Amino acid sequence: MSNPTAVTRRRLSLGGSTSALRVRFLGVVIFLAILVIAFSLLSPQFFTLGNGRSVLFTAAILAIAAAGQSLVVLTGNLDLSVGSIMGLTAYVVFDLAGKNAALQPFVVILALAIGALLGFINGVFVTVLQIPSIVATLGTLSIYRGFVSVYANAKEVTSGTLPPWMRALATQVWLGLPSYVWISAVIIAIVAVALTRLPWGRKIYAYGSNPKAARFYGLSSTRIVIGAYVGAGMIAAIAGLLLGAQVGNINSLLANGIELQVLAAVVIGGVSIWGGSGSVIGAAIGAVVLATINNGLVLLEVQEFYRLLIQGAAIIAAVWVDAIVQRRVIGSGTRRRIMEVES
Amino acid sequence: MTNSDSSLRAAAIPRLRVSGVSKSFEAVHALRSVSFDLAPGEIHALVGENGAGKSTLVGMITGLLEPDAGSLELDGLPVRFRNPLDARAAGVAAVYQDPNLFPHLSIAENIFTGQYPKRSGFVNSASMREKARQLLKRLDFELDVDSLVAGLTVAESQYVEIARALSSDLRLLILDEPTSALTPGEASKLYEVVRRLKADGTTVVWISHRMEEVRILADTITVLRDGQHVQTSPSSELDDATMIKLMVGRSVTLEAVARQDALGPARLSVKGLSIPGIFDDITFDVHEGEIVGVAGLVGSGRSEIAQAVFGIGTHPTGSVTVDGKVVTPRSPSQMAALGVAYLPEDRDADGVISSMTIEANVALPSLKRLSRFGFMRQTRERELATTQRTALSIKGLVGDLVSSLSGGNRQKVALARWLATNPKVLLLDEPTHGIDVGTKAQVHDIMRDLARKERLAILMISSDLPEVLALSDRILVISRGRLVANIDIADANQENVLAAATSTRTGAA
Repeated sequence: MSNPTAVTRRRLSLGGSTSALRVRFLGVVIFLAILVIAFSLLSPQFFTLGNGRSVLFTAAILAIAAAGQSLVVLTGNLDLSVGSIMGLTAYVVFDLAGKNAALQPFVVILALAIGALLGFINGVFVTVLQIPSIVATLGTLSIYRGFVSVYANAKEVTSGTLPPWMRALATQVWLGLPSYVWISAVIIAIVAVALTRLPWGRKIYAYGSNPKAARFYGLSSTRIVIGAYVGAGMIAAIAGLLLGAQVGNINSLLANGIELQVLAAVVIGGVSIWGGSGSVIGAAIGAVVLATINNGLVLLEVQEFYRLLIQGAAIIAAVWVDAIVQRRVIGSGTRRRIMEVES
Repeated sequence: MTNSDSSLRAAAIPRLRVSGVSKSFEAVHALRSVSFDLAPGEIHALVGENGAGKSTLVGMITGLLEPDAGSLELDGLPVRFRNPLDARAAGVAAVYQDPNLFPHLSIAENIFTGQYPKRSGFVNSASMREKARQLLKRLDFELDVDSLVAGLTVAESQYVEIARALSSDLRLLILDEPTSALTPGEASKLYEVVRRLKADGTTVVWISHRMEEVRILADTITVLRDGQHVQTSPSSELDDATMIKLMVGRSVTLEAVARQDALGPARLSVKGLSIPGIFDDITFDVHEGEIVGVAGLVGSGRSEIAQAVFGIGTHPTGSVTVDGKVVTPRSPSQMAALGVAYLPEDRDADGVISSMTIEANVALPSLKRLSRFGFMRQTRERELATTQRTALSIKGLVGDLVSSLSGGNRQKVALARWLATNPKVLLLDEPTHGIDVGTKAQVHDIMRDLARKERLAILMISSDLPEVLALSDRILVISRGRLVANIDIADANQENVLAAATSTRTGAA
């Protein structure tokens, strides 16, 4: 950087979009901080170790599912079937393992396989059949849930038939924190590394940022989008397994409707709904934000309506900020200077 | 790569041989059996009018499109690229006037996406950034490789694309209208880069509309017309007049019709209109019954001026007077209410709604006038559309979808839409761009009638100089965002208008 004026100019003209992206990530962190401070002032029970643990425990499964959803949202698509994938996987895997004890050590592998298959189906609908993802996964949301209903035939998988080690895991505490919080942290770390360090992840960002450019770069949109859905399906399957072990008695409605919470976490966490930017860490913080709102408002004995109100406002505010950031990024990309810059 | 080897064979074997390449899109022949050679280490200009098939040819060379017939030979070996990545791996790359980059990602990543330097499966970002820095340095270009592509100027984005092309062993670089969005300073820097690449043995294909640019850069010139190869000659053997004649295929003459005598009062007056960085201190009047032509290179700020007057985009400073009333243009609906209509250049994107019928398109800006108690009156809508269809002789029925029409007829629909509102001031942006010769003459007649008989004030932006000279009563020339000439038609000719348009008077210098 031998030319100081060039560098200064660069910094000036880049300020807009780079800082806009950074602000969006900081936004969720600041929002979380404000929530924590507000609840601490309003309720003496809030800022305690026990309550902190409880918030993180509630957030853990949501954060895992949000990490999976982030993969899909980063490509500019949605996965509304996440709750159905969780429910289907948990029911089928635990049912099989209950009937055949030899399968019990392999529940995780089984779940990953089922999740990958369901995600693959989503991906094929979106890429090969060119169905808009919101419609395609709305369809599979019903189909996967319908499949569990038929499979379950109105019966439950009872907690007694679950693999004992999974039952135990749900209540274990490691190094002062619930095991689920650690598992969640590990999964998020793996997804974060895959997204930032593996070519697989970088291509997801690139495709989401500008699908047309991806074509000129010779990237395969089919492979990238299916890859994201398969990843999301596998992660949702793990989330389903953990939720099932926690609940104990599993019926065909497990995790029904959770997709809205998951999407809310992703969006509040600063992953752009238009794809191409945001981080999985942000999505995880988004899950913690939702858990904090729930927890704090329960402590304050506030009606359900206010919880929904605050959650809804947070979603709209997050996407509003996202829209502003997106305009800046896209707008500055096509900006042209016709006249020479006056110096 | 076998550099010594290829230089030995250089004289005999072309860098790229295009033989008998054809491509059709449905019934349209975009390219018909095109054959020519590109020599190693030359700058080869590819010229031709819009629609001559240049972009289709580039698409096929870079693997974006598949030829219907014909073959390509790179350094003597037959090649067929399946996609741009394939072509790039063989050292063939293209950079377009609108760079295709990932705005949310860093410069370094944009250069290496799809070909990341890896260490045990992971992206090696330290090495990626270092390599990116080196590539940009080779272009003598200093940019922070960690900054995002969002926010770069078009010129800077092009350097990122060129750096990307350089990241593989580059044999053939195609630049498609690279300077159309660049300032003169940026353009001359790009010329330097291209000359340096040539010195390194890279063949550069330069596609451009700017004669002076082709003149100073190209060693060889190839002319395409209507999808056919016309001629390939050394630059020194082809003068400008011949080149234009080959491109157009006919000597350009448009009959100028006798001017009407009396002009009415000024309908549109623009004073000191400015948007920082786009245009500066623009002042002109358009009178009743007058056609004012606006000439200037693409990207000189012509369209932006018309759009600012119509209330689109950034609000300008300065004043706009319509019919003696001073207004601040804030929105198209406000300006339309005052009797101003604007016909945009890219009619498929901005001018018509192709999934709707002719009738619905024509009625769109007049919805309020056509409805009673908030409901559309279908008979009135049909009447209006039929009147306009007849007046402009639009082919097709009023119930036909606009998407089924040819370019010329789409343009007429776009025009009809605004004429249906009975405007007083008409702003036309490239009204005959990309439409066939027959329809073009019709549109010219319509414009003359609108000015002379209907007494409209018309501001017409056009890159077609003969058209500007034939239709205008007065010509404004815009260069680099400044109004550099206001010439009465009696004093105007191709030479003085072109000279003004290409003048490079810059504020900074």
